[in-house]
Amino acid sequence: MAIVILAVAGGTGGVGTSTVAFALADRLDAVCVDGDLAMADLPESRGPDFHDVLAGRADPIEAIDESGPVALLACGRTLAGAAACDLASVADTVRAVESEYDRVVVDCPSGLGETVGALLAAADATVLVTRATDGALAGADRVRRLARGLDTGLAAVAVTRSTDTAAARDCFGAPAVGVPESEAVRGATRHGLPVTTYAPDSPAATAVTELASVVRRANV
Amino acid sequence: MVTLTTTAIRERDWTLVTCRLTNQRDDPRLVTVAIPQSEATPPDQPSGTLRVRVPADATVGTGFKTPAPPDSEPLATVERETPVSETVDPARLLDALGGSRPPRRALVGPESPPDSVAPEWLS
Repeated sequence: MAIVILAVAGGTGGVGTSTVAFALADRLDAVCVDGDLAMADLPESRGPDFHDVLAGRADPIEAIDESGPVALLACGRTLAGAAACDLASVADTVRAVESEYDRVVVDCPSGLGETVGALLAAADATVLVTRATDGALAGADRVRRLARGLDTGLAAVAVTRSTDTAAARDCFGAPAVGVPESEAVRGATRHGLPVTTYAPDSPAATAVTELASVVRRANV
Repeated sequence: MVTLTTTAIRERDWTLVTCRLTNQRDDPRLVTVAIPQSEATPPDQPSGTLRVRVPADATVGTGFKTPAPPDSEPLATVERETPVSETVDPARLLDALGGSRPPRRALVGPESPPDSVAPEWLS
């Protein structure tokens, strides 16, 4: 069975999870859902957002912003909005998006809290994002174990700011793609664009394209 | 079998006890550590015990404080060890995860009554 709901998670903050998720959604022609309820960093929406959807104030399909290069279910920025979310409706929300758009990439927050758990449980498979450091690999491994406990398989690993994927392959036993550090990633972030759109010929964009190919080939 | 070793130091009228549980079996065990001296902290169910999951062929640390003197014997014993399943129930796993959203008191102050919008964990 092909992967239609993909959770992108890193465990440790600052490893580039959102950057990878946004670009991967672009390459997979998927809707990107910003699931970082308390610390969202994908572009904002001027209309209803994920907070509104999870609080029952908006329909998930109507909240998707198609004005950018990637269809995006953006997340609000307020703490009150994060606090009012009903996590029990996460799975139904993501499935509703998938039924309309065929493929969904969910950007998960760092850590192992209940939000991450709800998003992983709603997904068919996971892409882990990690740096090649011991601490980041350990954080990603904790996410992998949580996902496994929730019956969500591992599709691939993205190793950011590096081309050395040996440690990740050894640690996770899964395909690993290195996403090298580049000015293109920083520029894409500044402009609120996926790096695959901002600099499609950059090494980082090429790596994400390879990652998307790995995900397409993966089955769950 | 599971072996238990302890060390104890006295600090401010409390004895702080560290425990090392070593599982020499090739399967994970749920170990119940009995604390004969009363009022051990943290308490667990049933009272006066700690329950610790020890993976196969691994050592896990735990500990507690007690008002009993450090030379009391024994400070802790292995009361029971039982095999635990390697499989995980996803629903129980989700329930066990902690919250990662802002606490209500950070938003509206400690005196604010709960409202109908806030989920139960904010109360």
